[in-house]
Amino acid sequence: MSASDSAGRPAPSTGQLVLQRVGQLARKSWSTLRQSRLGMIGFVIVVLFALIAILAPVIAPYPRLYLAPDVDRFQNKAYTLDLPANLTYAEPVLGPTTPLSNAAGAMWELNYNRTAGIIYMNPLEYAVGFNESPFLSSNYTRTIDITQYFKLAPPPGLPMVSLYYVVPSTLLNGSLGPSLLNGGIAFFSGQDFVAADPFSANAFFRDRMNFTPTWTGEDPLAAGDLLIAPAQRSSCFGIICTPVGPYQYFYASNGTETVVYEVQYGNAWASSIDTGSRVFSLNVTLSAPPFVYYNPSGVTSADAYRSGPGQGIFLPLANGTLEVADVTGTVRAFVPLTLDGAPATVVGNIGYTQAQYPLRLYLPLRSATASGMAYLDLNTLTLGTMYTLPGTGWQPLGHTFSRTGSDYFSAWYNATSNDTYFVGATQVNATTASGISYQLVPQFQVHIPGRVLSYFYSFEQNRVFFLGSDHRIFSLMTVYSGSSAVTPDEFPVFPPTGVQSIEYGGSFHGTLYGSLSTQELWGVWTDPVTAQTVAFQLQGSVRTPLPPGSYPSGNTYLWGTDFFGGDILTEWIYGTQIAFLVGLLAAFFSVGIGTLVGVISGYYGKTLDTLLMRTTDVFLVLPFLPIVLVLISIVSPSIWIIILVIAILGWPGIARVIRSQVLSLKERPFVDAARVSGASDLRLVFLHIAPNVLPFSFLYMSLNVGGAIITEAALSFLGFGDPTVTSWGGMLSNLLTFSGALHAWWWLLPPGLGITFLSLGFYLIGRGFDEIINPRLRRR
Amino acid sequence: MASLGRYIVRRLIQGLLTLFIVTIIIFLLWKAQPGSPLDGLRGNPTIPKQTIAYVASEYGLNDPFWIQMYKYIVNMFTFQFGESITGVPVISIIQQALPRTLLLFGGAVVIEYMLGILVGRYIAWKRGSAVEGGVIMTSLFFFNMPSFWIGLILLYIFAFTIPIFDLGHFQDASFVLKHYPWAGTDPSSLWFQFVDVASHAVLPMLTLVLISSAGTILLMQTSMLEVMGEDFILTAKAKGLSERIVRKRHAARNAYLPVVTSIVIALGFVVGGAIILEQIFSYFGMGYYLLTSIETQDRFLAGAILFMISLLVIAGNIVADILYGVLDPRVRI
Repeated sequence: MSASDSAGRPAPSTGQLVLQRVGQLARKSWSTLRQSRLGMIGFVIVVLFALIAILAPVIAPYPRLYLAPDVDRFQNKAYTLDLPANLTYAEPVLGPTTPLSNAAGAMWELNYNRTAGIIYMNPLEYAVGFNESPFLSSNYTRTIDITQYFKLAPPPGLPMVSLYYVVPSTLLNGSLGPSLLNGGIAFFSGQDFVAADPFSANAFFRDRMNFTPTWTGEDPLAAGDLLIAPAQRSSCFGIICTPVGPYQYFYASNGTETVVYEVQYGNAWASSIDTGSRVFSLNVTLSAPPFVYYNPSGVTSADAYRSGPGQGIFLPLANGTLEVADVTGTVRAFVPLTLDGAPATVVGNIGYTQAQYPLRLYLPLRSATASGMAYLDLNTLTLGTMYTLPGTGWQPLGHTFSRTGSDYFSAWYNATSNDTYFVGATQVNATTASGISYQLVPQFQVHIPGRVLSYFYSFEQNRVFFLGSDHRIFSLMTVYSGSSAVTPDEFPVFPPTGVQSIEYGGSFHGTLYGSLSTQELWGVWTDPVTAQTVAFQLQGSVRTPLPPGSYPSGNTYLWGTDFFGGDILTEWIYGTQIAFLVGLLAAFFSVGIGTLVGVISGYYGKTLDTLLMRTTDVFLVLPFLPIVLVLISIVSPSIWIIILVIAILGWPGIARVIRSQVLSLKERPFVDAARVSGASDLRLVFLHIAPNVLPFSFLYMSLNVGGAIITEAALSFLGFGDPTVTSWGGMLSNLLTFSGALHAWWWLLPPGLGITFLSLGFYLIGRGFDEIINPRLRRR
Repeated sequence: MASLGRYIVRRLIQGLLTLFIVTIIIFLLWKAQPGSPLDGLRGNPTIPKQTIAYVASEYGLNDPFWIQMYKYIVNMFTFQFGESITGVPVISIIQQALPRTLLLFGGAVVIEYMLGILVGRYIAWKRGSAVEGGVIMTSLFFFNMPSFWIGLILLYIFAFTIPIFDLGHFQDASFVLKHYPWAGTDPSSLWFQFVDVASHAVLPMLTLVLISSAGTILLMQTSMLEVMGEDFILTAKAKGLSERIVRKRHAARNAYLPVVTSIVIALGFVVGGAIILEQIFSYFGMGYYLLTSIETQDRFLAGAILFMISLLVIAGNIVADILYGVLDPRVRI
C-alpha cells in the first residue's frame, strides 16, 4: 500500500505502520457501520449518552452530591388549638406526665393568664402516625383559677409572676404514677409561692415572701426540657434506710432579697410524700438572676443527697463574687469572678450541663473592657475563661446550654450593632504542661440581624431553633461543618407577629429520655393576642423520595428525588459517566487480554497454546458473578478495582475466537510471503496478523461494553460498588435498601432504562458490524 | 456407541480437572480474605489463649500452605464443608438451598429454551416480516436489560401495585392463606405446599425467562438462517418435501446445535443472575446464601457454595456436551 510507493522517503517504522493500519481500520469500520441500520441506531444512542456524560457538569440541574434541603424533605405540620379569647397569655409551659424512661404517656401544655391567674392545661399526645392533631386526642382539659381552685386562705395574690411544671418522679417502690393525670405545678403569684397537685386540687406547700419577685426560676434539670428524671433515693443511717426526695428547687429574687424553696413531689399516686420548705434566704444585692442546680447524678449521700458537686445555689453578687451554697442552705464558698484576669460580674442567666460529667456551669461575664463566657468547675469551684467578646455592649440571651458537657451553645445580643451573635463550640482534649485539659474549640459563629426573641436547642437534631426579631423561625446546624460561617435555614412554619417565644416540646410520648426519632420532636408557641397555641414538628414527617415536581425551597426536581433527597436526574446524568468509564475500560482491557492471549496462543501453538487454552477453559466455566463478588469483597470496593476484575474475568470467550482466527490467518499466503521475506515474529504478529483480527476484537469490545455496564450495575446493586461514585446500579441499590420506596417509579425507572439503552446502543453497534463484516461470526 | 462412551469419559475427566483447578482458586480466594478465621475467638476475652491455640492446631491453621491446600481440596471433594459461623453445618444449608435454586433455575432454563427455540425458529422463517422486526427489537431490549431491574419492576407491578404475588420468600403460608383461598386452608397438604412454592417462584422465574430467552431467540434465529442457506435444505426442498417438514426435520434439527452449546455459556450467567434475583425476591437459595456469607465473612459457607456452583456449572457443561454428541449425527458416527 502506501509503504510500497514511498521510494524517496525513509521506510516507516512498525509503530507508524500499526498506527496507519488502525486509522484505516477506523475509517473502514465507519463506512461499514453506515451500511447497517441497527448499527446506526446503536451509534446514535451511544453518541447521545456520550454527550450527556461529557456535558454532565453543565446539564445536571444540581451539583453531583446535592441533597434537597430539609424544607423539601420533610413536611412540617403545625396544629392549632384555640384557647379562651380575651385573655393575654404568657409563654407556654410544657412537661411530661410519666417519668422519663417510660415511653407511655403524654405532655401537658400549660397556658396561663398572668392578670387573672387562670391556668389552662391541655394534654398533647403523640399522633403523627394517625395524622391527627396532638391536641384532639383526649379531652382531659383542666382549667384552674388559682385564687379559687386550691381553696387557699387567703387566696394567692395577683398578678401571677411565673408558672412551673413539676415533673413526676420514679419512687423507690417503683411507683410511676398514671400516664396522663400526673405531674405537679408550682407558681409564684404576687408574694406567694405555691406548689400543688392540679388534679387533686391539693396545694401541698405554700409560703408568703415579704417581696414581689422579679426573677424566678427552677433548677433546670427539673424543667420541661430535662433529660434526667427526678428519682427518689434511699438514705441510710446505720441499718435504717428511709426514702428521700425527689427534690426540685425554685428560687425567687427581686435583686436584693432572694429565697430558695425545696419541693418534694412524687407523683399523683403518692401524695403522702409531697412537701416543701424554704431552704435559703439572703439579703444581698445581685448583679444577675440567681441559679439553682440539682443534677441527681452528681450528688452524694452525705446529707440525704443534698451535698456534693452536682448541686448548689449560685448567687452572682453585685460585688463581683459568686456565692455558692449547698441546697440545704449551708454556704460553701465565695468565688471571685474574673474574665481573662480582669474583675467581672455576671450579666445574665447562668448556663449548665445536663450530663453527669463534666459538672460545669457557664457564666456570662462582663469586665470593664470585655464580655465573655467563663465556666465554673463544680468539683473544684474554680473558674476558667472560655472566650471573650470585644467591648461591653454584649448582653447574653437565654441559658447557655450543654447537653453532654462536650459542646455548648450560647447567644449574645449587641444593642449598638443590633445583632445577635450565636457561638457554638466543642470541647476537645488538649495536652498542656499540667497534663490533659479541655479546650473549647469554636465550631460555628453566626451573626443574625436584630435581637433574637427566643431560641432552644434540639440535641437530637444538633440544631438550634430561634425566633428572629422579624418573627420568622430559623434553624441552625450546630455540627462542625468545616467552616465557621453557618447559614440559618428558614423554617417553613410561620408564627404570627404577636408570638414572643417558642418552646421546645420534645416528644409527645411523654418522655424526653433516650435517643428520640427526630420526627417525634415538637416545638410549641402561644400567641398571647389571638389566644391560639400551636404545636409544630421540628423536623416533620419524611416526604422523600419526592415525586417529580416543584417544592417549597423553590427547587424543581424534574425526575423527583431519592430517599436522601438527591436529585434523580442529576444522579442519573453523572451515572452516565461511570457507565461509560466502566463499560469502555473494562471491555477494552478484557478484549485486550483476550486478543493478546488469542494471538499468542494461535500464533505460537504447541505447549503454549495448550496451556493457554486449558486456562481459558477453566475461566469459561468459572461462575463469573460469584467469583467477582468474592474478589471485590476481599479488596476494598473502588471503581478501578471493579473495572479490573470485570476485565480479568471477561476475556476467555474473546481469546477463543481470536485464536481460531489467527490459526486460519497463519496459513494464508500473505503471511507466508511476509515470513519468507524475513519478517520477524513481532512484525508478523503486529503488522500482518493483528490488523486482521482487530475487527473481531472491535466487534467483541462493543458487545462486551454492555455486559461490563450491567455487571458493574449488578455489583453496585448488591452493595459491592464504589460508594464514592454515583452509578446507576448504586441508585437501584439504595432503592432496594429502602424497600418502602418501591412505589417510587421515578427512582426505579431511570437507572434501569439508562443501563438498558446504553448497553443496547453498544450491542447494536456490535451487531451492525457482525451483520456487515463477518456473517460467519454469527455462528458463535 | 463405544466412541460416545469414550467421549463421555474424556469429558468427565476434563471436568474433574477443571473442578480441581477451580477449587484451588477458591482456596486462594479463601486464603486471601483479610483477617483470620480465629478472629472471632481472639476478640472474645473470656476464651483463654490455650483454647485458641488448640483450635488453630485442630483445624490445621498452623500447617504449611501446601498441606492446608491439600486438606481443603480433599474436604471439598468429599463434601466435608464444615460449619457456618452460625453453627449450622454447611452441608445442611446447601441441602436446603440447592433444591430451591435448582427448581427455580432448572425450571427457568427449560421454559426459556423451549420458548427461545420456538420463537427463534418461527421468526427465522418469517424473515423480513413486521413480526420478525418486533420480536428482534423486543428481544434486544430485554437482552440488554439488567435482570435485577426487571425483577424490581415485576415486584412493583405484580407484588406492590397489584398484590398477586408475595414480595419475597421461598414459602409463606400466611400469604397463600390470605390471597389464594382456592389452595385450601391446610398448610401441610401437598396441594397447598405446591401452590405456596410455585407462587413464590413465579416472579423470579418470569424474570429469568424474560432476560435469557431473548438471547436464545436471537441465537436460534441466526442459526436457523445460516442452516437455511445450506445446500441440503435446497436439496430437501427440491425433493418436494413440504415447507413444514423441511423446517422441522432438516433446518431446525441442525440449528439446535449452537443453541445447545450456548447453554454451556449461559449456565454460568444464569447462576450469576440467580444471586441477584434470589437477593431481590428474598428467595432463600444458593445465591442468597452466597451473598449473605460474603457479607458476614462466613468463609466456610461462601467457599462451599462457590464450590457447589462451580460443580453445577461444570456438570451442566458436560451434560450439554453429551447432548451435543447425541444431537449431532457427526459425533454419533
